[in-house]
Amino acid sequence: MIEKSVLALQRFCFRFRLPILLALLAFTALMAVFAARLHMSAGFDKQLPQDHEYIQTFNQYRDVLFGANRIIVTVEASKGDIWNEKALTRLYDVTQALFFMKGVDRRTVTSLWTPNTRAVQITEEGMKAEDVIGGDVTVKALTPDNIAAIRERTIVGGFIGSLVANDSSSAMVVAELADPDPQTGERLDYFEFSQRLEKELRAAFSDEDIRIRIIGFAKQMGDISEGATSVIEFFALAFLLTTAAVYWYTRSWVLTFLPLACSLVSVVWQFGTITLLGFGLDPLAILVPFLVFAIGVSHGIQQVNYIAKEVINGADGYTAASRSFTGLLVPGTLALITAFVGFATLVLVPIPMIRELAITASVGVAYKIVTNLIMLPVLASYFRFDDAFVLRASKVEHLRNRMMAALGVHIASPRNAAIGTLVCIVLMAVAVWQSQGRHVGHVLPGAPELHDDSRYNRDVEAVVEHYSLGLDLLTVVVETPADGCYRQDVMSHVDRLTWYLANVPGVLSAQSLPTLTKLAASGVNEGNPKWAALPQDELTLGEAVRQVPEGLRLFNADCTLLPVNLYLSDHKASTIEGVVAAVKEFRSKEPFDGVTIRLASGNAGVQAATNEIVEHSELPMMLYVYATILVLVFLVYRDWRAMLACCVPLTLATFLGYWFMKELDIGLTVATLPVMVLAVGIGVDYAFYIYNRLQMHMAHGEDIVTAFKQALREIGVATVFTAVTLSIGVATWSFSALKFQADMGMLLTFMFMMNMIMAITLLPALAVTIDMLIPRRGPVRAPLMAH
Amino acid sequence: MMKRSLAGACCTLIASCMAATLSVPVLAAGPAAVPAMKARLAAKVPMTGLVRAGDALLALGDYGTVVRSIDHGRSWQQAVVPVNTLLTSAHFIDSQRGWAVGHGGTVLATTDGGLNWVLQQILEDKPVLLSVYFASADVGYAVGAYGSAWRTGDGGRSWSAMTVGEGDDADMHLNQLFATRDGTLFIAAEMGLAFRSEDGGTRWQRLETGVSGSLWSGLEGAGGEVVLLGMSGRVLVSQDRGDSWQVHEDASGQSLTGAVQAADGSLLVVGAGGLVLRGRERFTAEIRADRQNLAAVQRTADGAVVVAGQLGVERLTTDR
Repeated sequence: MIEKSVLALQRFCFRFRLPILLALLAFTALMAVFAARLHMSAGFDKQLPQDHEYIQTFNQYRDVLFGANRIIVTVEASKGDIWNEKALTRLYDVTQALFFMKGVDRRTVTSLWTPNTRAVQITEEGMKAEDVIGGDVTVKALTPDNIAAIRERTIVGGFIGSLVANDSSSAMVVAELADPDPQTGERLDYFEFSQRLEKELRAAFSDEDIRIRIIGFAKQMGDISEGATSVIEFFALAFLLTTAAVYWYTRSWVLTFLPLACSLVSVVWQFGTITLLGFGLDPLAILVPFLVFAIGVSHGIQQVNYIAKEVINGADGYTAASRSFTGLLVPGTLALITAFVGFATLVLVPIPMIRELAITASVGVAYKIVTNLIMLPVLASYFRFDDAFVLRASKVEHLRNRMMAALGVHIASPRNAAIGTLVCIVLMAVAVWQSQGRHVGHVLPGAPELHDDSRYNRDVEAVVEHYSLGLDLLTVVVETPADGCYRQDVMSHVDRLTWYLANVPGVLSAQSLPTLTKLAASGVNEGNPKWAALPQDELTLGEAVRQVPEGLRLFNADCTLLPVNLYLSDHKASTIEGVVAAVKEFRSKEPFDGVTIRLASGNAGVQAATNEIVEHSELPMMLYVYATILVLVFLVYRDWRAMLACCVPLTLATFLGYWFMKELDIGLTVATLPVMVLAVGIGVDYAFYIYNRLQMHMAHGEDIVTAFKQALREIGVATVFTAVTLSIGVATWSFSALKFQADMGMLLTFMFMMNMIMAITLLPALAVTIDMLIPRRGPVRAPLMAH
Repeated sequence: MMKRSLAGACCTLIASCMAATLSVPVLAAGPAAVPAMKARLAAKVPMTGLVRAGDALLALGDYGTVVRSIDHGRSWQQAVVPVNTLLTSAHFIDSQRGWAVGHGGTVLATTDGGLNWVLQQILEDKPVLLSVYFASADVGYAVGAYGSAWRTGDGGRSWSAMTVGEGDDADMHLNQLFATRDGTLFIAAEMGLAFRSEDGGTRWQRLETGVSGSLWSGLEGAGGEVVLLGMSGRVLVSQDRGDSWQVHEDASGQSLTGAVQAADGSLLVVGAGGLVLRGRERFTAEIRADRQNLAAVQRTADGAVVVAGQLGVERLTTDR
């Protein structure tokens, strides 16, 4: 039945090969037009699970809460401290430059030089606030005396640790960005703004004495976008490496051209489709076209391998191509369907970016069925192969066969197989044990998208080290009745929540309107610490509340929003989980009428949501993929031994992958979750190829050891080579400027190689051992997908 | 909810029973209050006062926090307190029996050296109470904001208002009430005011301090001299029980919050902005690196000094 339709399709395709190729060419040209319109999108929002409770809180309040639009520039003295004319002058210049930069909210620019930096002193006459650097002091008039006075006022005003480093080695300019622009309503282009920061601040004001550091969400996004532009180079590099590898394998430029060209065609279709679907290409999903390209090449290899073998055996190009078409349509489709299902299951993860990735990847893989299983052999039928190629190829073939035969003898001997199986069991135990306590989320400090030694993360590290600032912020949003900040009971409840959370391990400090109001209450009462409490009556409370600067964003205009800002020691999932649990506990233990405590904003809050989703998605995703594989294997082989022999090595490879992640501090994130799922979906291909041959030879009556030796000889090199090609495509990513791309690249390379090694060593060892322990009763069925 | 109020009732009941046997009267049915939460960082809460209960040392502060140390300030254990408000002052008549006051008219009592406290009273109109002093198990005083002053003759069971200042002085904050060894009462108050009572608080006499800045605390020295501390870095010393004052003014201008006397009669004074003064008539000033506002200082039974302030409580290891 299947065989008949395959033959019919083959006849149809080869009969109308020219119109078909022309139609495909026209389609490619059309898609290329759309593909050219593809744009890069940073897509921060797409990384977030939009339906998650925390993200809804974040989205609702992101424009009114603290930190999202903050930019921090530090002026650092390379030697000594900043209490000298040159450094303070430079601080002035940077303050001015930032003040006049487009996109900066001028009212919010704060440094020692700005008039909103005042030292408050409490005297008998009342509170006396004076500018840290008074209006009478100008850059030109800086003298040792007034520098000393500035320094004293900085200390008295409490600006050490906030505007000046704890060791006075640097000083800070802080500003908020006007995003969207209040006049035009346009959103700020972070990429362009970040480039201006580089040019107008870092380049303009750095020299051998002064170092400029810039951190903030806008800069982070800018640097990520910049890192993502290295895409083209990686693609070019991967293409060259793949070309070289395919040529080494085929020894023919024609056979090198075919898989590469066909794979490129499907990438063009894929890019066109992405544009048509309205998606952009973001740094995370950019791996997908590469992967799809690599999958295409590796399936193309199967085709040219088939064609070459036919040519060596004396067939002409046309016949070889049509035989390859018939021989590989069914197994190729099945393998691609497995990969397709692997990708498609990712749609179930409620994170837009992963969904997008799932869709684009599935589309890409589906296109492969056309480009690699139909277009490639049809195109190949136009080529002729001369005797020189046949001679060259058969020599290489002979050498490879001998190598594989030698390997086969060692692995499939019953004794070695038993040892192999034992090693597998031990390794599995070790891998399961070692992969325990794998990290969820991001582990290292700074922006997780970038490498720890990236300039941005080094700047973050320097600022964290020298200032009493936590950069891992989790904001608990407290919604109150209108004018909640003038109600003592409401404020007191928020105060209690703040104190409760301040006591959670991993929380460095907790800030909220009540905590600052209490300080203000003490301030209006001569600074007496015994007055640092929330006043009972509305009027006095209001007076104290008004002392708290608006810029801290600890309340909104109608006082219905009183956020609690928690600065955490790090953004490890375990730290964030502890805080989240504490908030939930307080919420249920101490309910308060009219007050809603919501999780969570701030970078750590957002991460908490993503971590939860990623962690809860991983197991179901893996189970779906494995279930698909088991079903497919069963359909094809109708044999429980096949299911075991294919899936055990795959599982071992997966756990080795987990172990690898733990050792390399690669956390389970939005970037690595799809990688593990994809790796399983693609990795099973090797098992398919090997087991398929094994089964075929056994169906012909050979014993398992001989069958395996033959299988290895026929497709061993192709399998190894497929893994190498796939790995080349993704391995280049290890050098990416973006950490998550590097993580994805390393992990995927590891998984491909591991799955390949497992398929040619463990799979046969397992199959042999199973047959030794439980001898087969009936004859072996021939596989459905005959190569 | 049912369970909680039941538990609350039980607590109150047990507390009353305990109180009855140990003869500290408490409210029969305690007013609803949110108890202080057990906190990992209890000793790091903003502190307002330090008090000795025998050899034990107690610190008190925000969120109804009382911490107690029996190893002279090296480690601290949080006490059980039925309120959540800022506590401002405590006083013990022996190693077991003591009282504490705070915002919202709160009066607390303990009979076990400060490990467990019961809510004894919420004073009328919930005044901000700033200082408490008990002359005996029965007679005690509490003073606070806007001239609020109270006296009890039954160990805190009932309180009656007491008039301290008159006329313009009537609504001044009464910052601290203390007694000399002969039983004379003194009050350090707002705007340079100080008061003295020689009849257990019935009549109060305004003292001429000669300064205008608020006075925040005071104590009697070993030689019978009366010392007052206050704003603008002022230390006022009187050798004649308050009739005349000798004023020392520290150049830092920081407000002084508390003092303790060494065996040699010299003072150790703490204040805002991390100020620490040492000396007798002349003082040497030290400004702590953390610049935190210090609120209180005490000497431990082993002779060390413990300070308390914005950043919690701290034993000074290098001190005399």
